[in-house]
Amino acid sequence: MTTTVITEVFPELYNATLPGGKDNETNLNSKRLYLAVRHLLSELFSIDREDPVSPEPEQFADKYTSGSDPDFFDEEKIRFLAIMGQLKLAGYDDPSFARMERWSKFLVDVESSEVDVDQEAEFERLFPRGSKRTAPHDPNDPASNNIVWIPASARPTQEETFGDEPHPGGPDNSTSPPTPRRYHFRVLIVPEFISEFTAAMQQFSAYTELYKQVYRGLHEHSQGKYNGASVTVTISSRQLAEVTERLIRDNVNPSDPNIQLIIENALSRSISSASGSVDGNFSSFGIDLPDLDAGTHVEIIPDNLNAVRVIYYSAQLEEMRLYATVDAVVEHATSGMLPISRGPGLDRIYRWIKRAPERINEFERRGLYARVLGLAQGNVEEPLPNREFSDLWFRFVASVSRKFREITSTERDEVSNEQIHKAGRDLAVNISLHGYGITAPAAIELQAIIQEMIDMLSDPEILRAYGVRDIWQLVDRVSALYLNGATNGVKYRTMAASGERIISWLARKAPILSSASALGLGITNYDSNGNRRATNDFTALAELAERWLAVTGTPDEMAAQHSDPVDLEQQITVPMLGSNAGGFSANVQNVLDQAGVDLPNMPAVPQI
Amino acid sequence: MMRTKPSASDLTKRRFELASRRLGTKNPAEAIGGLLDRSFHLPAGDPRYGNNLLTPGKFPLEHSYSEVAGNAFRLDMQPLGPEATPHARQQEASREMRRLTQQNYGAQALNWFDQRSERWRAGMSHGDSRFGAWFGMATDSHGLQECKVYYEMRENDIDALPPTLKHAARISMQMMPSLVPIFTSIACGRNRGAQRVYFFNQGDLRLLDLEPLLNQLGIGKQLPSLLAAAGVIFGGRFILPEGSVIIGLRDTSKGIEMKLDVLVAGMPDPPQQMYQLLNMVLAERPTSQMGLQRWVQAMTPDHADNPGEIGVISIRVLQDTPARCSLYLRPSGYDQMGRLSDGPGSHNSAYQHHGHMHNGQGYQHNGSSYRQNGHSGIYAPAPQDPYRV
Repeated sequence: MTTTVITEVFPELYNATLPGGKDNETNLNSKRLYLAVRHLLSELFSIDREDPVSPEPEQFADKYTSGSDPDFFDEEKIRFLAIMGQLKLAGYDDPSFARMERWSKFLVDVESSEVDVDQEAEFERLFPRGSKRTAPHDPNDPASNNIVWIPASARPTQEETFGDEPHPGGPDNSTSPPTPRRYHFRVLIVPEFISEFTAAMQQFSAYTELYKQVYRGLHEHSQGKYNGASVTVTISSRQLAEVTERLIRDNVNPSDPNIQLIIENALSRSISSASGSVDGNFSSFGIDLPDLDAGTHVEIIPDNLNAVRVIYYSAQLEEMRLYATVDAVVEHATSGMLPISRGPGLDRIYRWIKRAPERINEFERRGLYARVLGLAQGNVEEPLPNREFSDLWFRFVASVSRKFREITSTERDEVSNEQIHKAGRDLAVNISLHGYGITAPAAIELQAIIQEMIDMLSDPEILRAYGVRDIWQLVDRVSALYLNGATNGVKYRTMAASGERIISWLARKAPILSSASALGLGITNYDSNGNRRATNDFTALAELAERWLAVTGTPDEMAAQHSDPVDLEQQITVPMLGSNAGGFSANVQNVLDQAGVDLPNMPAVPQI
Repeated sequence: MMRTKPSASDLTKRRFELASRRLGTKNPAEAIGGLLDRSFHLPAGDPRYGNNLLTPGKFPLEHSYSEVAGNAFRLDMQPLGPEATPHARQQEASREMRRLTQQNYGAQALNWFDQRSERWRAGMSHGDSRFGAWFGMATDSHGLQECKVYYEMRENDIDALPPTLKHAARISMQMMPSLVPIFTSIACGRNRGAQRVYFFNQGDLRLLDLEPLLNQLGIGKQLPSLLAAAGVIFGGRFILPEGSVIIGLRDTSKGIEMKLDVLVAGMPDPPQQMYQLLNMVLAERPTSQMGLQRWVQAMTPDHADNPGEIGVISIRVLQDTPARCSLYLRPSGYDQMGRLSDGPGSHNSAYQHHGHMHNGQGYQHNGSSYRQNGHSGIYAPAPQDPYRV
C-alpha cells in the first residue's frame, strides 16, 4: 500500500520559484510581513509565545505538519494565515508603511558608530516617541506603542535570529569587484499597521469557524483527487481572506449543510474576478496591464491609484484609435467584408459583438477620461472634471526629469528633493481624489476590454486579412484607410506605457508622499567615493519621465519653466458633495449672499 | 484686521456687469463666472498676469468691437492662470466651449464643434506648445451670440482643417511662403459655426503683395478697399513690419473671407491718432461709426479717461463685401503692478524664449518690440517703461 504524502506550500509567505530565493525582494517583503504578524500575535495577544512558528516563513507549516500525524487544520495556523490574508487584502503588505527605507540610512550610520548628529535629530523628529532600539512591545508603555522595531538584537530574551538580508547600503564599492554585504534582517512596525492587525484579529475571532471551513475547502480544492501519489497543496492566504469575506457579507452560517458548495461557489467567483471577469469583487484584486512594446506584464501593485493607471492607459489607446480600429474591424466582419473563416479570430469578434450591450461604451469611457484625466470629452455637464491633472502631471514629470539631469551634472541643483516630493504629492492627491467611485470597477473592466481587443487584433488570420504583420500596423492601416488618417502610434504607446508606470511609482510611494518629508523617496545616494548618484529606483522613474517628455516633443526650456513648485490654493482629498467648486451661478450666489442664506451640504451642480 | 486684496476675477465681473448694462447686452459673467474665477484668481494687478501671449505684459483679457457685430459685448481671454500648461488651457477652453454650445445651441452644434475640435481636445498637446488655447465669446441683448476657442496650431495641423479651408490654407502657404499657421479659431453661433485659420507673416508685408493671394482666393476685387482702409488707419503705411501681421482665412457661405490683423505693438511708429483715423474710415458707414463710439463709452470705466489701449486693428474682406474693420482693446483698469522678474528685459522672457516656432523672430518678438516701443494706443500716453511699480 502506497502512503500518500501531502505537502502544503504558501507562496505568499515564501516563493521558492522566484529568482534569488530568499534575497528576492518579494520574498524579503513577505518575510517582513510574516515576522510582523508573528511578533504582534505574540506580543499583543500572547499567542504562540511559548512555542512560536519558525522565524523563517518557508518553515511556517513545519510546526503543524511535521511528524507522523500532521494537522493541516490547526486553528493557530489558520489564524495566522487569515490575518496575513486580511492584511494583504486591505493593502497592508508593508508593516512599516514604507518608512523603513527612511530609517535604514540612519541605522546604517548607527552601526558604523559614526552617528551623524543631524540624522539623529531627524530621526527624533520623525519618530518623536519611538526608540531606536525599542524592546518588544510593552502594552503598559505608551511610548513603545509608537514604533516597534524588532531587530534580532532587540530580543535578548529569546535566542533566535531572523537571519540576514542584503545590506541596505548596497555592496561594498571600495573593492573591485564590489563585495556583497549582509545585514541583519530588519522589520519595522508602525501604529497604523498595528491598528489594522488588531481589526484583522477581531474579525478572525468573530468568524473563526467560517475561516476554518473555508481553509478546509481551499485545502481540498487544491488537493483534488489523488490515488496514492504525493500531493502538493498550495494555499493562498489572500484567497482565504477574500472567500471568507464574501461569506461574511452573505451572512453564511458555518454550520450550513451546504457549506462546501457555498465555499466552492464563492471560490469560483473569486477566481473569475481575478481573471478579469466583470462580476467579481473589484476591490479585492490588482491591476495587470500588458506591456505594449514587449508583450510582458507590468508588476502588480495593489493600490487605489492603480485604477487611474488603467484609465490613463486606456485614454492613450483611445487617442491611438485602438478602440476605433476594433469597431472598424468588427464592422467589416459583420458586413462580410473581412475574408476570414471559422477560427479563434472570428470567435473573438463574435464574442465581442454579443457582449457589446454589457460593455462600457465610448461615451462612458470619454466621460471617465473627463472626470479622471480632465480631457474635454464626454458629457458636457460632468460635475467634477479633473481640471488640475494636466498641470500637475506635467509639473511632476518635468521636475523629475530636471532633477535627474542635475544629479548627474556638476551644476548647482535648482530642483530640490522636497520639490519632487511636493510635485509628486500634489499629483498623487489629485489622482487619488479622482479615483473614487466608479473609477475602480471601470478600470477593471477596461483592463479586460483592452486585453480582449489586443487578443482579437493580434489574431494571425485577422492580421493577414488586412495584410499587416502586427497589431500596431493593423491600427495604422485601418486608421489610414477608414478613420481619417493614421495617428502617431509610437507616441501614444510610449505615453501609455510610461505614464501608467509613473502613476504606479506614485502608488508605491504613497505613504512617503503622504508624509511631510522627502527622506524616504530614495532619490539619491552616495557611492564609496562620496559621489552623489541617483538611486536605481529614481533612475527608472526619471527614464520614464524623459521618455514621456521626449515623445511629446517637449523642449528643455518648457520643462524647466514648469518644474517650479506652485502653491495650490486648495488640495481637496475627498469629493465634496456640498462644495461650491461646482458652484451656483454668480447671480444665484449673489442673491444667497445678500440674503445671508447659508445652504447646508447639497450635491454640487455644474458650474454655470 | 488685514483686508485681503480682491481677486482680478471680482474686478472683471464688476466691469463686465457695468459694460454689459451700458451696451444693453447680457452679462458674459453669468455664463462664464466659473471660468473667470479659475482664470483670474490672483489679485488684481498681480504682475504674473503679464506672462501671457494674448496680451503680452498686460492682463490676459481683450475686448473687441466689430462692425459686423456692432451691438455685441465681445471678449477674448486666456483661460486658467499664468502658471497653467498649454494642454490644461486647451482642455479648459474646450470644456467651456462645449458646455456653452450644448446649453445654448444644442446637441447638433456640439456635435459639429466636437468634430472640428477633435484634434485639439485629444489627450496630449504638443510638448512645445506656447499657449495652448484662448477662449472668446460675445453676448448681445438676446444672450450668447457666439462662443469661440482659439487653438494653437502647428504646420501639420493643417490636415485637421475642413476640406475647403485646408485647400485655401495650402494655397495661401504656396502663394506666400512667409505665412506660417499659428492658430485656428472654431466658433459656434446661433445659426452656424465657423472655423478660421490664422497665419503669422514672417518678414515685412507689403500690402500690395497680397494681390496674387486675394485673386487666387477669389476676393481680389476687394484689394482696393482693403488698401484704402489700411492706408488711412495706419497713416499711409503700406508696408507692415515683421511681427505685426496675422492673416486669417475663413470659409463662409459667400466664399473665403480674409482677415488682416495688424498688431499695433509690432509697429515701430504707430500713428498716434489711430482711433480718429479709424473713425474716418467708419464715417462712410455711420451706423458702424456710432456703434464704435457707443461701444467706447460703454467700455470706459468710471474712474478712467479711456477704455484701454488698442492692441489689434483688423480688416476683413469677402468676395462681395468690402473692407470691414474691427478693433481689439486691452482694457484699462487692470494695470499690472510690480516686476515680473529681476529686471527689465526679463519681463516676457518666457514667451520670448519659448514662444516662437521659428528662429526667435516674429510673433514672439511682439513682446520685445512692444516693450521697446512702449504704448501704441490712442487713448492715453503710456510710460516709456511699461513696468509700473
